[in-house]
Amino acid sequence: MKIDIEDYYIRFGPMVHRRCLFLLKDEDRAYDAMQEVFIRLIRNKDRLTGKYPSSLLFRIATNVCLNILQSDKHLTEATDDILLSICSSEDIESRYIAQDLLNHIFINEKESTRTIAVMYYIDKMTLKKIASEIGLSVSGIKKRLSKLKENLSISKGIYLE
Amino acid sequence: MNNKYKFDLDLEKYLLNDLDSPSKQRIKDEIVINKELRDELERLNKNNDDFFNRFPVNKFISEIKERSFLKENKGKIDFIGSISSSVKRISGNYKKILIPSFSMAAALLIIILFSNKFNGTNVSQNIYNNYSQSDSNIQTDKEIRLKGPDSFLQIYRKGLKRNEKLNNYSHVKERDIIQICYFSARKYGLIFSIDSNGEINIHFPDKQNEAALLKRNKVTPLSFSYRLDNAPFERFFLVTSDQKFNIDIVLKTAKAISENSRDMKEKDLELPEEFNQSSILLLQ
Repeated sequence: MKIDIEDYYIRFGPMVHRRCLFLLKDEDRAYDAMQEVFIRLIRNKDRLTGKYPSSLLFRIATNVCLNILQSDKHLTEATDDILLSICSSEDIESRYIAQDLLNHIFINEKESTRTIAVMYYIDKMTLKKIASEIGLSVSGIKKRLSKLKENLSISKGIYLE
Repeated sequence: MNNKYKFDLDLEKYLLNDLDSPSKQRIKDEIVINKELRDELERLNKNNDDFFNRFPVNKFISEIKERSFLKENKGKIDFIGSISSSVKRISGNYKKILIPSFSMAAALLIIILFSNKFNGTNVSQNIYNNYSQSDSNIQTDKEIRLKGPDSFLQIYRKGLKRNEKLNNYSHVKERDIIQICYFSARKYGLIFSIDSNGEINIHFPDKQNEAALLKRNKVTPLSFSYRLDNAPFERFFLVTSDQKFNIDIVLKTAKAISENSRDMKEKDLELPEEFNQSSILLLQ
């Protein structure tokens, strides 16, 4: 499918940038990530048959940012904030749990599961909303999250609500 | 949690006119009673305007072209680089000749490999610099259109140094000159506005009762610009369809909402399913 990348940038650029800034908390990295999002968009243009193009761009932006965070060797302000979002608490034990969750999400899970986990734990979206964005059923989303929790509790003895 | 950066997907999609109808209506209802939400929308609109000042379209497009090229041709550039460095060991004179040539060769390679890569148009040139251009070439029907919300308006205000993109709820002044543009994946369309006096102005097409044949899948400016009068607000509508239609169908529903100030600002036109509509409200 032919797309005019300039039109897409004009229309969706600000949204993509805000998404990257929200996850990365750094202007330069967000700009870098935004460039990567539009490059990926061109490569994935065949996926642009969905109803809402903003949803695809949102997912690409989330994945690009997670890849960037994954490659961080040290905790940055961004990962710190993500940890706080997940555990909604500043006590040390919760943060270690959240850190493990984050590592697990980054390393062991599929890209789509990572996006679902971010949407649930960080964006605080409802299961119904996540399902509509991802294009899965609510039961499919529940299954993924349940599997994620199971994998975590088996490997780490971590229990999530 | 650091609250400096926020992100609300539904609000973003609402601004993009890329939201399902129930969610869109929920936000519209909420806007009326929730000042914080209205402030947030205004903040997002301002952020959108600032965005293009900071990250201009042409600059961004050329940067991602270069970045994409470098990614795809990393091997080639390394190979050229290694030839250059081996020549350096032979003779300093060769270095002086080859390195500029390498730069030129690399630049030439970039131009050759990349010249037809993107489906770029002179959209930004049209929108940002040129109000009076009319393009008589109608694009042929070869593009696959997006499904769902696939038509939208863009409005620009003429400025002294550069033109400014206006968004839904943007503030304007009497006598501001604006340029209306449209993007449509559908074949036929109508652009009109309703102002706070309930007056309906048809902008495109002019002088006919049927919807205009649109240039599809590219942002297209109308062939004239428009000076705003002193009405407290004016809402611009784009209505599109794959089938030719009589504009009276649309104007009738426009008349219905023009009788109520709140409806004029917020309510969608009541149209059959085969129509797509989008609007931009400008406030004074």
